[in-house]
Amino acid sequence: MAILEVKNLKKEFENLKIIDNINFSIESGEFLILFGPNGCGKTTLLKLIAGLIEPTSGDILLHGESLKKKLNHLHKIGFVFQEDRLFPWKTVYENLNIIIEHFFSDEREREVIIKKYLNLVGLWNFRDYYPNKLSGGMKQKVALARAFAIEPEIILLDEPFGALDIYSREKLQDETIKIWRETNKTMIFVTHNIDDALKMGQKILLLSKRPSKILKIFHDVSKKENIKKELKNIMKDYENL
Amino acid sequence: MKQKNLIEKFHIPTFIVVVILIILWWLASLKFGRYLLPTPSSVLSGLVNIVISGVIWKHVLSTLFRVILGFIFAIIASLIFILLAHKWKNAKIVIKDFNSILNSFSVFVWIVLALIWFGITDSAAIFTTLMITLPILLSNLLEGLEHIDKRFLEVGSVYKLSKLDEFRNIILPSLFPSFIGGMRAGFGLGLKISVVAEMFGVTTGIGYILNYSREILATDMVFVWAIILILIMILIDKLIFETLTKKVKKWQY
Repeated sequence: MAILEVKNLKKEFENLKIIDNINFSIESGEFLILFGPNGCGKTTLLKLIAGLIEPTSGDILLHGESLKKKLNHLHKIGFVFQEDRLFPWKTVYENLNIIIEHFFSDEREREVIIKKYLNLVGLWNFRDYYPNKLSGGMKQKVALARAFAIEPEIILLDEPFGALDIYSREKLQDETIKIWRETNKTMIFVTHNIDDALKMGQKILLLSKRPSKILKIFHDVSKKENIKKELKNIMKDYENL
Repeated sequence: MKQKNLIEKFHIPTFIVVVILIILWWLASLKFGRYLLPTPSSVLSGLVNIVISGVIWKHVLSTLFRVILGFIFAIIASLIFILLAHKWKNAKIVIKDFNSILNSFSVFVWIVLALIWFGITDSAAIFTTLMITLPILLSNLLEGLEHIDKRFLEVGSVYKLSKLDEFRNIILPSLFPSFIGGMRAGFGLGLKISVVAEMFGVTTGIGYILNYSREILATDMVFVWAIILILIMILIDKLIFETLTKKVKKWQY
């Protein structure tokens, strides 16, 4: 059964249509890419899934149950933003600790979890550092660890490498794939970067410009060259508009 | 390079100017007489005397007690107000307006009112400190509240932080840098003001003893207590507020 289903989802802000009738579902453990141009409503879609905002109409089902009915605290979703958004006044360790505190009440259990995920991104030795002492790539790794550490079923990533240089970006791509394989989480990754899309995903959902609709779904990403051509053409169209 | 560091570290230029000023002061005191301007040596011996006799502690401690208590009340009150302002938009409007009104109150109005309401007690100085430092703290906090990064609050709601955790882990730390600035300015002013309040009524405290020294024509003791006041100010600034500032600098970008 699908872990997450999006059904006839629509979202308007003050009569401006952002999302127009989107339908898709995602299987447990799947790595889904939402590919679309800037400003097409990808972030809005993620926020809807995260439960930060409510749809104008339509529904999102988690394990077959509507998000509207779900008790807020049961809706455990990891979120990686474009910027790291680590609290600068907390050390790396504390940044994870205060987030997972109300999901795991036992302090020793929390330490085990934090150690596990900081080790996964190779930053356990930096646990007592403040974020201002870390590079952009390292900070984003901590943000990644934070999203995994609450042990959610779904992790949403909103152009998480957008602010990084090419070198850090490639490293983070590999790192994310590695963690995904090890933890078997369901991932929804939003990007307008063709490279990200082809390297990371198992399935690519192509979104139109605003109001967002699904133009096409690539179920098989093995024929990378073909998809790349198609995505490039579409991006060109977007730019011409 | 090393020499330059030493000069900066020990404030050698200031030191030289102070020595020159003391010499000028000494020369002037010879001309004007000890009532108008006591000699540096009589001020120094006066200082030594009150330290040895222990008189210094009685007055310093009662002044500090009043200022610190008034200041703590002001901190608590300002935090409560900022919590309300954060929670309700309407409360913020009211608090902002009242803060402007408080800000334009004259210090002297509070002192007179405190004397009427509390009479000759510690409470008068405590109350005056509270009313004078509160708008300073609150202005800084309100300013800080406007600049809280909404993106951090979004992290809080994605990860389902409770309102209390949000206030503790996001709002308060965000406000902390501007709060320290407010505390620094507020405490300095509080100390200066409560000394004035102590001139009326009470029989302890630096303000009282300063005024008493004037009445008995002991101008040298006026100087002594003024110097003590300056030393307290510098000491507290270095010990408390600089430590807090360093703490913030550790994580600030």
